[in-house]
Amino acid sequence: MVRLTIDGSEVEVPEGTTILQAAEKAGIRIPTLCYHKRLPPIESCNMCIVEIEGEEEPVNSCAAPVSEGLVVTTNSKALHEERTANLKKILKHHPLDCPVCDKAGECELQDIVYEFGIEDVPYEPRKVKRDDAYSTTLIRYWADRCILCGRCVAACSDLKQIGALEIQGEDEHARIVVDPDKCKSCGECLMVCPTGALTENLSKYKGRPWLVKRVWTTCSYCGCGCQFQLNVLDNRVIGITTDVDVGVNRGSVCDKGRFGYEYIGDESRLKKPLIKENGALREASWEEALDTVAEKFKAIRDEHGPDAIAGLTSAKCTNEENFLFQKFIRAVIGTNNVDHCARL
Amino acid sequence: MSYKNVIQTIHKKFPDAVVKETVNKGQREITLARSQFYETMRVLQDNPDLPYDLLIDILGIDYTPRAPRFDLLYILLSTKDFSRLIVRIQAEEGEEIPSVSSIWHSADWGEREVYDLMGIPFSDHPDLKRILTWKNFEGHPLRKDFPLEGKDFDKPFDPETIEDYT
Amino acid sequence: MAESKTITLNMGPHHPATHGVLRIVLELEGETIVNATPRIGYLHRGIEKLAESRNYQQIIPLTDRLDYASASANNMGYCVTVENLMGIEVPKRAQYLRVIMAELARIMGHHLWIGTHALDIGAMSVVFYAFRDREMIMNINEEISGYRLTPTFFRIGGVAHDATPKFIEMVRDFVKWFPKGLDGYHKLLTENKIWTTRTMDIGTISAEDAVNYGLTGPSLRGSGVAYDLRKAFPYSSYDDFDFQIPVGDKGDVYDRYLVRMEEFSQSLKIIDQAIENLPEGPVNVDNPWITNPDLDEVQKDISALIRRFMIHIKGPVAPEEEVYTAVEGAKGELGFYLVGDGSEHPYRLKIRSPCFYLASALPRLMVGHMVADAIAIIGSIDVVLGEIDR
Repeated sequence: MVRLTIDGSEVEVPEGTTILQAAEKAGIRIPTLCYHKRLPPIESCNMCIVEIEGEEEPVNSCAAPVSEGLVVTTNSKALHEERTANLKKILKHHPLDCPVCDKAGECELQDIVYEFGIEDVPYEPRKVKRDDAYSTTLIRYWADRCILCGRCVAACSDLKQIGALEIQGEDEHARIVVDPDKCKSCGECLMVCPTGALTENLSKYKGRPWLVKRVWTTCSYCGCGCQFQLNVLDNRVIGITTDVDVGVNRGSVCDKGRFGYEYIGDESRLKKPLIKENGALREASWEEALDTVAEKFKAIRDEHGPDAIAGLTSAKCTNEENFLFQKFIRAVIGTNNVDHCARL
Repeated sequence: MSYKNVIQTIHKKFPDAVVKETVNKGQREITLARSQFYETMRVLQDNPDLPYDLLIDILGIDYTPRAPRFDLLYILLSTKDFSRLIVRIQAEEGEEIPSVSSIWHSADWGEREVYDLMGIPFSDHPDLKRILTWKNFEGHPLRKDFPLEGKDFDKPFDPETIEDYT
Repeated sequence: MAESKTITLNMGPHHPATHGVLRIVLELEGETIVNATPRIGYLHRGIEKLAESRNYQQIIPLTDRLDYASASANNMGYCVTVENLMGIEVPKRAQYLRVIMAELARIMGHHLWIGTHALDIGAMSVVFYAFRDREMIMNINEEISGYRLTPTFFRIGGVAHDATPKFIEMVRDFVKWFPKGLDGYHKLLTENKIWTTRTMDIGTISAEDAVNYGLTGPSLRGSGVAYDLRKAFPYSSYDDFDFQIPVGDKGDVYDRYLVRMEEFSQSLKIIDQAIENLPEGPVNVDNPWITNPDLDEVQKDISALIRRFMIHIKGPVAPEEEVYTAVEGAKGELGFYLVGDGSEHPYRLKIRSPCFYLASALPRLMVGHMVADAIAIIGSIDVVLGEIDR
């Protein structure tokens, strides 16, 4: 265990922790922009700088490790001025898109600019134009809004181990380049982007964060049980949001979970059971439908034997539902013809 | 000096009545204990040094899930030197507070409003009825667990179910 | 069959003389009132509950609708309370503009009072003259903010924008014209034999009783207690102006009438001093977390755009403290008790409305008088239901 002093208060942390994590343990908040809990430190925004006694230059606290007896200052006039200058460098080329940007209202750049009370940053268009292209039609990349924090690159290569994104070029020519063969449209980059540079391109309808109702639910596609929130606007699902601290998935979902919500409100879904009579389908009540099915199953089993019926279940059902299903096929119908989509 | 005299008089007569004395943003405030609350308010109103003769307002604050749940505040003014005093008392849920409407008549409607919207009952009140809602209204709207849209807001509302005082 | 000596008469919520949806259940013995029970709550809109889920800026239009006859005075009370809680200092020019709007609102409220009070008693011509003058103030409101009745011109830390030259000209014209209009009301009513017979010695209340019943404002000053918040707890540079507080001595309807008539001219005096000595300077506090940047700055500067966006959806944050501040509304002491909890919306907002306590004193004022006098008494205490029911 290593002991160090942050802003006058002593804190004891295991070896290998960064100064930022040690400050969090002591209850002190240091402003960050490119740092993300699940990613390794990127050090591209320089907002988390702290002063260490004995060192001339401030260091990035998201990456600097603790050492015994360190004396750290997280807030001073000089630090505040340097952080403001770093933020203004990022803001100078940021387009005036807030009223039309999807992310406005939950944008980390907006939050930190308001927290610092920044004033007087006139807009300068970029000297070297960046391209807007992206690999998948489900995610849209707005190159002008990108602050090149590098979170998407780190998420793709470290979290998902795919490595489809890369920052190429230096200074004014730096830009994000994507490898279309590697990208799987999982949306991990979408989740970590702090600004509106990466937005979802699937839903026709968009909603501001304070108008949308968020409902926690479990994904229905497989047995992993990833937790996310459905964003509901006017009784229609328009997207999902995840939280880094919740569920076994800790914020990540696959492309089915992230973009596969359109079936929920699809017009062609049945709302009532239908029974075929004289070649046409007609509406029926649940009782009538279930009675019809039970009668017909009994008739088939009595006439042709239990092996004439087979059952196929899926991973969309819960474990308990699957257990009931196979019990029904084996014990009630009396056959061993039962299978599951995972075996196919 | 007269304010200090008043506090000393209260200390002499009821030594345990005043629990705390503070000045909050330039405003004098005292917190009273539950016992001898009515007598202390009577002393505040008719002592000769600095009589607090105008009861400006009564309000309740819901601090769920803290126990005691409610904070009841009385804002007093003295027309002698135009100084204000805030009196605070803490109340449990369902605990009855003695009414001060026999000391200040303006407490009559003030306490009815606190009873209606917060649900703090008062004992010895001449006519403790709901004042801003109707007779068979269920719940107390300003409590933190009462939803903003009201109960059953998505069901159709039938005005025939309202029963009001005549 | 039991024989009861009293008749119960219901002055229902739909009544032209109750100045709103006020219901009074009168028990009469012949023509004399033995008991009167006011019943309120017909206009309860839950403003205090709504305030707990809105930003501090979003509550300002809600406060406009409290005493809707004199709307800007309510805004003043709320903004001064929030600024006390957050420790903000408003620049001088904004304070003077606020005083002008609040005093114009007071004159507007008194116009409605005199028109309807005289109309209820039977003097029908007064209401036409009163509403002709009120129309001038509504035009001023429309010029500065676009609304006629509820301007919502105030913001936290100042006012919405600077006064236009046309506004200053219109206020000066009003100040020049109004003494003639006021003289006209005096000629119609003050020495009128019918008026004095109907209003003298009606609804008398002594100073101690008035204080005990919680009355404030012109109704309390009519009984002889010189309590005016503009002098007792000065706010928004009222101590820069030279004005007096009229005080009655008997406490009857006629005294309250005279107090309000004199308040007309005192308010006009304040407006005159404020518009002639309007200082130069900004109209908003210079604070990046509270002041809304101008539109032309927003179209060029990204930080102004972000700040404008965040101020509108989030706004300033209050410390975890409580404060009570009261201002002199048109009807009496309008107080706001505000509890902050470190977030951008209040934990509890309690509105101390003057008309609530004025209406509670109605039984004391009405008992012993006849039904026709009851109408005069309701008119003299000048209740507006929006404030009682909130």
